[in-house]
Amino acid sequence: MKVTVKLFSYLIHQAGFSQKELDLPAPVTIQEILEMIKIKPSLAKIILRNGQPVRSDELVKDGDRLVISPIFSGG
Amino acid sequence: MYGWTGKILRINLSSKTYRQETYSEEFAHKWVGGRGFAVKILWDELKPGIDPLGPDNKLIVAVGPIAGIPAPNTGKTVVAAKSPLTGGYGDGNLGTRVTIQLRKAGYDVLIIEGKAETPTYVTIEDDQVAFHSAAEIWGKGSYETMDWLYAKYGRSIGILTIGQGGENLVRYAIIRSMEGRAGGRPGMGAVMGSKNLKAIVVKGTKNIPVADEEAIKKIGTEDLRQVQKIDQETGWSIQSTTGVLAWCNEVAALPVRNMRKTFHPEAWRIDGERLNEARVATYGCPNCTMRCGITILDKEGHEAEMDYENIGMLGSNLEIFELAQVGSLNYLCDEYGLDTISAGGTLAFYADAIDHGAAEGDFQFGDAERAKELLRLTAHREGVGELLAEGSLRMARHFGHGSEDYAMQVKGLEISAYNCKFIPGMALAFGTSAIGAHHKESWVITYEINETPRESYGREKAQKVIELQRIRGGLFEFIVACRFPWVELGWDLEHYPVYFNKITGLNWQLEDFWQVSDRIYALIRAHFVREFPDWDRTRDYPPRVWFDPANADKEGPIAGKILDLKKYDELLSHYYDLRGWDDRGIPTRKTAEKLGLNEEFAALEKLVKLND
Repeated sequence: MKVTVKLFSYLIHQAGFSQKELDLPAPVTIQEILEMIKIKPSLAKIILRNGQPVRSDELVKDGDRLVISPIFSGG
Repeated sequence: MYGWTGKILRINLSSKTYRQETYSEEFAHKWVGGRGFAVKILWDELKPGIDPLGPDNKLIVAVGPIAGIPAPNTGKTVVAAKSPLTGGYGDGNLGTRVTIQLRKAGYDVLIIEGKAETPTYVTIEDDQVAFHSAAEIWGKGSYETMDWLYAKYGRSIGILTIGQGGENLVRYAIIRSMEGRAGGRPGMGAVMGSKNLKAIVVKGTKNIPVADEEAIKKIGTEDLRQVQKIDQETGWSIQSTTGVLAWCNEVAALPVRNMRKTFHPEAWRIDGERLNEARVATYGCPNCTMRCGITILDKEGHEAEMDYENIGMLGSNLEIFELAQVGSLNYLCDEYGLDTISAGGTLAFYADAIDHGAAEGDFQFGDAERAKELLRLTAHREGVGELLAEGSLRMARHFGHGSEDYAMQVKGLEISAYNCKFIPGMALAFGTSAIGAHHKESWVITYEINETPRESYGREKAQKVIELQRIRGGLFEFIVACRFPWVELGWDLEHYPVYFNKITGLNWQLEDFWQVSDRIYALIRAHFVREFPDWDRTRDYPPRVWFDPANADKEGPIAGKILDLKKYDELLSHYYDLRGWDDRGIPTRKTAEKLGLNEEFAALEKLVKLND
């Protein structure tokens, strides 16, 4: 199962990449993916799956695109 | 009275006189400081209808009870006056050594009135004020001016100064301090310039009155360490505020091409990762724990201190994706003393108006070299700069041909770098921001994207906008401190009453602050209504282009979607209802009474009929 993960701001520096296609064994939750890419779940404040908000205990599907960001104010 | 010095320093530039005044404990408790002091003083002392660029306007410099105390991010000062850009109350805050020096000199507020006969700068050293000729620095940029003053008075002084933009009354000229610090978007720098006031220099040697000095020293110092530690652990300041650009690009909220577009494939070239790679220095405010001023070398080799608003408004919104060139535009705005947001918005509007046949000219999106020249012309009001110095709304009224529909501003203040063509709550936040379209008061976009259906216009969005305004536009603007530890690192709001109580000796809870916030929002609104007695709710509308189906994105995450005016109007009604304002957006008599504003609204009622 292939899932694309896109990260923002300091999560990029924690995980060591800004966007990556991950090859994962199904079933897998978003929470488990966060652990695999070494991001503290408490810092992943905004998670969108294919553009829609999603909870971290939900399972992902083949071809999903996850967009994960911490909260930030922008200035 | 602890926490407050209880003193105001009033300086009259016309008569070259000054005097110390005191204020009461009741005044301190009712308005707390910063924005609260400024709005009340300007309400009491300005006559309606005065020329904001005339000698009758007054510039207020105000700090709050926790300003300058060793606790997380307390280096901010508020500057305020009647705005030459919006015609209503205007203010801003900036990180500056003035915060600490003013408190040590024994004051919480400066009131600058009148107009100097010739260019002047003022020095304040404890009880002494001196008026000096600014002949040698008038006409110079803000960096050169600060260097000149540092050489004369030493680097520990607090400075507020203007560049050529302020001198030449550009309506969105800001006040500058330290390296890249700037504040007062609605033309506070132009108010200084109109008074022939080039700079204010402050140095103090007194102690700041604190109720429990030992406790605040212990707690404040420990919390400074803690916030710094959280920043280091998360790595927030690696990209600082600029981390948001890539996210805005992803969720279709980036300002591109005068906000005609919401994302761009080249945006990555100016994002936080690229900025961090190009970094040559990092700057911050006094008492800062998470320095956000990422500094790069611009095209000409100057140090340019960048944040998200700058790269959004001077980069993507102008379709300029060469980082060094965006740095150049940023540097020039700082040197000339222009607000980067309004400068970017105004230039983008100009290019758009040319594009749509409303204006003649040779400026196109993406032309960085011409943009630099236009900033120079703006700051000196030369050629087309005479018009650009007026801001996008006045330009649109000059051009006609329906161009006001795409002048991206609210109440005359240009919208900051979030494109809300399909983000209803954030559009409401810009619409109801107290001083015109400013992101600082209610940054609701992340809540909206993450916790609500984006397309909804529910009452909960209005509630959230108000909740954030109470914290961001209220609490942090009147105690006065930087909001970043809370908003970026999750530093608990409950810390702030602790600092406040240890400093003042009072026993306030967070809820006590919300009443002050609501009072301030009501009086700022009353200021606007007093200036524009024909006030109606359309003044809280964002630009029409955000409701125009022809302007909907053709591709991407929000393709075919656009704000709905009828639904926006309903959302606005929720906002008014929750605030206790009538359907024109004016606080009711009952609300005024609840907030302790009977006297002020009785005066307002002489101009405008109020509702119960």
